[in-house]
Amino acid sequence: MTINLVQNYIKSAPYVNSEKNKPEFDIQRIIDTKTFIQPLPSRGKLIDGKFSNIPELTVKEAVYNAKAFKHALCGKANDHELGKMNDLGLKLGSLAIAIYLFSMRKSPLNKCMEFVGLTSFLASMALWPKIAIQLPAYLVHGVNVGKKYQDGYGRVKPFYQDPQFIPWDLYSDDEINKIGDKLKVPRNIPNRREFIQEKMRKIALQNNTLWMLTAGFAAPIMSALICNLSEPAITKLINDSRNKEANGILKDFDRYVDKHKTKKTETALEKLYVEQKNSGLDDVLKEKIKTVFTSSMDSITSSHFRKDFDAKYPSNRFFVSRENAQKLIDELSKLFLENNYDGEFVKSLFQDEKHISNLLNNNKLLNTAITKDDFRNIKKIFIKDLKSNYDKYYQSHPEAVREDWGEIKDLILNQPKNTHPLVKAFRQTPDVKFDKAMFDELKALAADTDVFASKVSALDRYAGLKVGAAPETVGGNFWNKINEELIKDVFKFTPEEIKKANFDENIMGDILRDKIETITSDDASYKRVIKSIIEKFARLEKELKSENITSHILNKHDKLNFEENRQARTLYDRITDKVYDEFAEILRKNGFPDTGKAVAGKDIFDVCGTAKSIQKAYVQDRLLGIKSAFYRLINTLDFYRRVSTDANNIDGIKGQCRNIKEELIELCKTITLEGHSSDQTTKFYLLRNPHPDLYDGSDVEVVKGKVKNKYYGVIKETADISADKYFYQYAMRAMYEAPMHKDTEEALKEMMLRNEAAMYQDTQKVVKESLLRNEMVNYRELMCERFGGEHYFTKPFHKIRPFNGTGSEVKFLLNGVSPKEMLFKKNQLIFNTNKWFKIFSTAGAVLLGVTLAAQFAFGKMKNPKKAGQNA
Amino acid sequence: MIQPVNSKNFIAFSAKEDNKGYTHDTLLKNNFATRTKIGIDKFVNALTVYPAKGLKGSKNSNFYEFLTLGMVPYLVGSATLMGVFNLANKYYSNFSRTKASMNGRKFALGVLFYGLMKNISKSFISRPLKLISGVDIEQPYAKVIYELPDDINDTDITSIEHHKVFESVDFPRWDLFYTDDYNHKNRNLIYDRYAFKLGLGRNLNDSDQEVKPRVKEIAVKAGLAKSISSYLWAAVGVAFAFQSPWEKYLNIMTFNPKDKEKFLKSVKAFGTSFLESAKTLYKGENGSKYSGRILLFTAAASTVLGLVNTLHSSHSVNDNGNEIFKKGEKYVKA
Repeated sequence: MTINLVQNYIKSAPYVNSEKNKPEFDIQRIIDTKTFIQPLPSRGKLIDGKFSNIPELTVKEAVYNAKAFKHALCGKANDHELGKMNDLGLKLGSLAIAIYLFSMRKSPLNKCMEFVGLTSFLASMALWPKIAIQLPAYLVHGVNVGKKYQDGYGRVKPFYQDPQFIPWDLYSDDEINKIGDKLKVPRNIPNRREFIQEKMRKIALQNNTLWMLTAGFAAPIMSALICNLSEPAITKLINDSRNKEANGILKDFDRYVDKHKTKKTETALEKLYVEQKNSGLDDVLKEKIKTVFTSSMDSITSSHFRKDFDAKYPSNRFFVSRENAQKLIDELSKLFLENNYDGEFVKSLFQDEKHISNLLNNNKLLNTAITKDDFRNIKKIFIKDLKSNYDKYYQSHPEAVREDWGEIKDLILNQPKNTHPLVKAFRQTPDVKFDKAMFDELKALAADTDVFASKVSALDRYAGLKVGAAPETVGGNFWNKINEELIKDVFKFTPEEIKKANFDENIMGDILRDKIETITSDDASYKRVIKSIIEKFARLEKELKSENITSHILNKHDKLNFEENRQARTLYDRITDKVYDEFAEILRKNGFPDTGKAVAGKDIFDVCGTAKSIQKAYVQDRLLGIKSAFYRLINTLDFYRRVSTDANNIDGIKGQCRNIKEELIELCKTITLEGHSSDQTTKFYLLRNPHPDLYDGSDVEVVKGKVKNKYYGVIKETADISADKYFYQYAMRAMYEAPMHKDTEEALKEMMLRNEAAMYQDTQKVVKESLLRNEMVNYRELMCERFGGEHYFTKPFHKIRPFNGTGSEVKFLLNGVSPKEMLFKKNQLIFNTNKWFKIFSTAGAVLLGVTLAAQFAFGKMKNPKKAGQNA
Repeated sequence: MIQPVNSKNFIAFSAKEDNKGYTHDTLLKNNFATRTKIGIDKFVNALTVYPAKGLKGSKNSNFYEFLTLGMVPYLVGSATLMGVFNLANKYYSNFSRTKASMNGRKFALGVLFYGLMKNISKSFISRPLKLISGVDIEQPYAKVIYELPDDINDTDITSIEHHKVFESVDFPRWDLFYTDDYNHKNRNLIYDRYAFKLGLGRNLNDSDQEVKPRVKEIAVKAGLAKSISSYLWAAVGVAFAFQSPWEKYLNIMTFNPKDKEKFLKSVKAFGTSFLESAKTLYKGENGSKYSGRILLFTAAASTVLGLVNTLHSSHSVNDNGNEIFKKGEKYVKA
């Protein structure tokens, strides 16, 4: 029997239940409707862009991009992959810009803002279409115009990217109908799906066009606004981080130094030794060694080190070898030729290398060490030889014009010692060698120099972070923040006042004076303001940690005896002393006594002008400048308060005639609010009434902080009375000597309870008095002492203290910035920022408004007639 | 309602030469005049016709128009970015204004140089590539588009789009390189030229078939090189604008030729600042000694490496080709 292969196959073929897969399969319907002619089912899918899917989508995109890069590199990428490379290029280019600008910026905030700018710009480009276009379009129309799909090849694309090719088959009838309902498309219209699709296409196209038209405005504005708004938070983050770093330096100084230690000097010395091993220690090599050591030193220490090095390694011993012969001929010939002797004659005088070598050998100089003292003898030997050659020359050249032997002799003898041709020639072969012993000795010193440099670098870093003369130090940030708070929160400047005060410092002065007079005339306002200012100021103490650094003169350290002063040292000072004293000791032991002295003085009592004292003074001076400005502000408010409450009983003003009282009050108000250190130095200048009515002892009238002047400003004949030393003394007394107002005192004392205890918790130090109050009292006394004791030649008797004993720098720092100037500068910045923000936030808001409103004009289509209705 | 195409409603399914200049898709010469003409055409359309069509939701709007519209955010964005750093300055006090204006002008210059360098740097790839391989990846062509009429009276149903032959590496317009020769004798003339330049030899039977895969690979690699390097060169442009010698020019710059003396001074200062800024970018300033140099070398390296990689393809494909079509073999091994 023949085997029927077909039958066998049919019997053994797996059973496929086609009905199960296609339950609605109706062959007749398909034949009737000809739906068997249709495209292949799509292998693509819509992407659900919900929030929870974002991480997965991001990872997938990154993997896809990496593959796309590989494909593009091999030349096998497709259009979609190449498009992704453009995005990659954009990001790389932007990153390159940010990195370059980062490298150019000086301050940490500016550096940081370059990356914030980059991120915010890229984010704005991505977010604007989502926030301003896709979301409103979805809310208004129910259509997600940012929908994405994945095609059959796994490429993710925007669904509406090409309006001429939209893969509608990825949406089921149900989904389209649901969207149609949201679009309010009537249910029973013919070709409803096509109508909805057309409406969706139209909305998407309109929105995509809107996106292109608005993105150019939106991305830069949005990015700039993000940067503007994020700046304060970033400043705070950087400040906290840098303050923490600074505190960490002093807390564990040795660990920080170990972590950041340098081996610069040691490495450079080793390198030099490899190059110049066993070379003679001539001036060139000595200079190289000195440079190795002094590269990490300041200029004063460096100059002392050079002197000490020269003394320790003198260069006045030379080794005479045959090498010197030619050099001697060269140097001596040069001297004679420069003095216009004939070349042939000069040649015959010194002959050749062999002749000079023999001359040295015959005089037992060759291969011996000589000192500079031996040069007298060597000169004689050379002169004797020259004379012999001189005679021989004229014997062989009888026709030659005879040179004067005396002049030749003098030329040799009368050259300066250090630049004598003989010295120059022998200097090439010094007797001292840069050998192993010398290297080992210097290497130990180099290691110590490196340790010292690392420690100084750590101290500098600490000082720089806390109060350095740079932007964004802890002190600088505090200054900026407080000034802004003073304008906005404490003195409550209105936008109109900010605008007015922006252009003129005098307008700021007037506004500020008005405000202070109003505040000080009201009990509640003054208490609120003074408390607020002191509280803010106390934050500086907290941030800077006054147990670590402080201003010495504000704490009367200069009045303490030596032992008390050492006890009162801050942590920064203690570490500085230790670092500098240790290194000075090492220098002394190694034979560098002057350098040791320049570093830390000859002993612990000698501190003036040393590198150690400069290291400490820098911090103290910077701190004094910051603190003085705030104590001055408190003192200004206090004086105004005293005038507002009890003007006639202020020490210095009390008992004067009314005219002088008015003049004194006006002067003191002006000086405290606006005065410069030059006003203090010149003992104040005020146009006064030269003939005051001394019998009018009536009280000045003060209304809401303002004096109702009876004389001042009314009398027209005025002059500065330079002979009236009492007026100056009264003014100084009123401003700085008279007791502070009780409200100011209380506010300062209260700070002790709130902050001091917490401040000193970690050091277990018991503080019984308010640090701020003490410093405030000292500040006022210092003003009397440093300015009041100053001699001014045109007003020699204008003093309230016998002498001041201070330089102009301390006076400048002590005077601080006037409240008017302090707020004026910050006010300008506030005005600029506000103005900029107002312009661009308005522009941004208008753009957003127009973009949102546009949605209501989109997708307008006339609905077709419902089935059954007549056309 | 969409009208049928017939002779009665005068809708002809072809373009009229006198109307648009082209009756069919046409290769264009890649020269300065053409590029300028295309640039202007795209610029005008991007600001007028395409936004209008897009906002109306026109059924004829397409992806080309969307891409051309991409020019708008670039231009508007550049102007806005300049504005962000300059517009508010006039309200500031004198000192602040002077300082802010200098920064603002530098930013504006940065935006300008970004755009310039980004566009110019593309030719750092395409020009040498054309010189060495003969392949012009920037070759433009005019595409005639037949649109749907907006209404019954709309007879202007053609529009011209300016594309590049290799703008799609999936579907390059190979057909445009076949010469229109009735006898088909010189049909592969352009491909023959490419084959020779690419080192494939002369008088090939099917030069088009030999050339196409190689040119496509070149187009892909050149596309990558352009994408990466152009943005890095743009970054160089920004860095260049931020050099301090520009301040000399920015302080006295004027665009008013009526004031001859000031204008000439301004032009001279531009030249001086340009040269000095180039030096400063290379040598470094303000502590950033090497960053300018690194950026410059990175951009240059991206161009050189991109170019080397692109040109390398011509030879590698050739080698592979020899392996596949071995003489003496009866069949080709898959």
